[in-house]
Amino acid sequence: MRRTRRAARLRPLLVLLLVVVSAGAFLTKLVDVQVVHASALRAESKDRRSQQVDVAGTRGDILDARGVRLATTVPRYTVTASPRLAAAGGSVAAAAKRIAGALGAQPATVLHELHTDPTSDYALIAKSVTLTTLTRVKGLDIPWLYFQETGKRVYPSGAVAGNLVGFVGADGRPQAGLEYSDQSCLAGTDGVTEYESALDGTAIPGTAVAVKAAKPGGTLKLTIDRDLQWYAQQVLAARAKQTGAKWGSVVVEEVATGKLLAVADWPSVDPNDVNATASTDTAALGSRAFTAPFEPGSTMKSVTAASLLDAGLAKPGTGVVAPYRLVAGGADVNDSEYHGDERLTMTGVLVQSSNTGMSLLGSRMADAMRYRYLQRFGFGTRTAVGFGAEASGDLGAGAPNWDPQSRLATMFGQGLTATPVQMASAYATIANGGVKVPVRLVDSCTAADGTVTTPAAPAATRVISAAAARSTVSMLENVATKGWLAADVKIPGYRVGIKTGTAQESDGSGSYSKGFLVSMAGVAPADHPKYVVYVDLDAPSKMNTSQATAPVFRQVMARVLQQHDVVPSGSKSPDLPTEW
Amino acid sequence: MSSAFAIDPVRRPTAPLAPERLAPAADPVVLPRPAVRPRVLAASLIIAGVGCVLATQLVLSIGTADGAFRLQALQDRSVELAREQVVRTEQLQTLAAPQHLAARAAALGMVPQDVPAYLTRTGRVLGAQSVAGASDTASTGDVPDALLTH
Repeated sequence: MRRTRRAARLRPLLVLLLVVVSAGAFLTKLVDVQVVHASALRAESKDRRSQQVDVAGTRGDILDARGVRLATTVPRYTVTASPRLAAAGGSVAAAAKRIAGALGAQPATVLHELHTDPTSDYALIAKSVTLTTLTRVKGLDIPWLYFQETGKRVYPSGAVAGNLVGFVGADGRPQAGLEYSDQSCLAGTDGVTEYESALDGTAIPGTAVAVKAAKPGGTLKLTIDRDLQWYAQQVLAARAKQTGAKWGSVVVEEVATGKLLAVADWPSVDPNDVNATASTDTAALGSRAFTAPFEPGSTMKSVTAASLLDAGLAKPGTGVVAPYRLVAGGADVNDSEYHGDERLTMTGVLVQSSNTGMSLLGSRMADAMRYRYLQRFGFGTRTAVGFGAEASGDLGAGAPNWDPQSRLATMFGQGLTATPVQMASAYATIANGGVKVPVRLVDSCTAADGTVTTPAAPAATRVISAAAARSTVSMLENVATKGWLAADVKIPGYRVGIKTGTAQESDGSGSYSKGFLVSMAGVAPADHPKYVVYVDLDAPSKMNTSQATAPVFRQVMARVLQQHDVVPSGSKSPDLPTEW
Repeated sequence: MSSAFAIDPVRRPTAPLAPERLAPAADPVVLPRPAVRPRVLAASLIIAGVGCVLATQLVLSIGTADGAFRLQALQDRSVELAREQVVRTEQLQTLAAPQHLAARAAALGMVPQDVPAYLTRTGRVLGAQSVAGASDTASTGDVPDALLTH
């Protein structure tokens, strides 16, 4: 009886002891798991259960001046499969047929991917699948298909501004144009997302956590007007084909702001289909208007005339006797067509585009001074745009090292090189009352957080006096009204000023080739110049004169005036004497 | 939780009573009945109350679940519509390409007017009136767009 009572007293104690011991054991294990081996176990479990995926930061759009998208990123999908699970599920061939049907692919191709490694958990079925197709594939309800969103760069306007915008490669890396040069603005910052996965690798819904948030790229806004850009490209391409030119460009610049409204190149590149251009003309992948300098020819005479006016060394009515051929001081220059001695004013020299006349007038200015004027007009240095692979042009040996021939030739645009954009900028300077406003192509970059940055540009500088600029424009008006292309460039109701150029081209080995580079530069409305249009066509085999460029100039200029609601003034161009 | 029991079994009046209290047995009516009746009533009330609470809870949870299903359906629809919008925006952007619009306009017989003229509110014409005609060069078809041909 006593033993029983004692045992009864001990029983709770035993139970208590048991509880304490087991609690102690659990506590020890808990501390071991939670504290001692915590980090090692956490790392191990993470490897086993969680997956990290990179999330691409969307690339920013490229917009035109009105906000129309020239380049954008659209969602596309990658379809992958697990051949291992497909094989486990059976009837792979039937599934492959259904998948191929939804994708619009060959069943054999899909089946091949699924059969290549039946033990693998990864097989690429299709890339760059559109949302519409994806919906069809998802509708098949096949559990071993996986979908991942990717971005694809598209250019909704095709080749419109393609030479400027550039393109990205298949890997999404920028390769040309503004896509390349403004990568810092456009590129998004990739983020990382972590999710927990089931045994077969599928993400457990609701477990995704952004370890590092992806940041979208900035929006690049250009000064280009898409519709005008298209029109310039269309007119240029049609005319280039008609005249058998090798290549050509059109530059439209707004005088007061230096904004490039259109920079058309032909041949052009469609960034959606780069191979079509790359296989025929690699130089056309960039913008020749920026990258390919050439001897501009007689369009340069306006610059020489403007410099003479500014320096007070000549007036529009200053007369010279212009021979057909001028041999002086080791130089030998002649005009394009034979003529007797002509008593031309400076206006007449421009209207007749006399090389000998311009040589005589230009000789009134010291070489060093003329060289400085050329530099201040922007020749010999890249424009403020800084386009990828932009050329600076070349002023040759420069003063005082020009040889006698180059000394005269540079007065009428031979023996030096310039890009179409530089030429347009020089004419814009004359049209802007003598003040050179830096050329602009990129208007701004708006970052994802709304910060707007505008590219740094040098300040506007006065190159020639307002009076000299005004007189030059008046002389250009006389070229438009009295020159041989007067009928071709006339835009009824508006006053237009132009200068033509038919330049001999270097054949790359120190002499001139047989082809000519024909060009036309002009301003309108000449009574209050607002726009400059520069056109050039290289070696138009079916029309080897600047007449080839005239319809392009007229059509583009008319469209610019129309699009910007420039009302015809109805006033008459001044009538300056061309002879004396 | 004992409140859930209408009758506390420990205190049941039917439990054995002390023998001395059994002795008189003078008035048997007084014994258990007055104590039992109110408890049955209370128990019924409580059961009914609990029943009501459970029923309400059930109705509410059915309602909430239904709302959740509806919410899910609407969210799915919203995602679907957002995707549809993306697809349509892409199509619209492609079709709004100037070369496409120009080709459509040309197909309708429209030609670009190279000679701009303006009509003032007073009826005066600024610029030169002219009939739009065929221009010097083709007005469409020379600027490619692979998106339109695909």
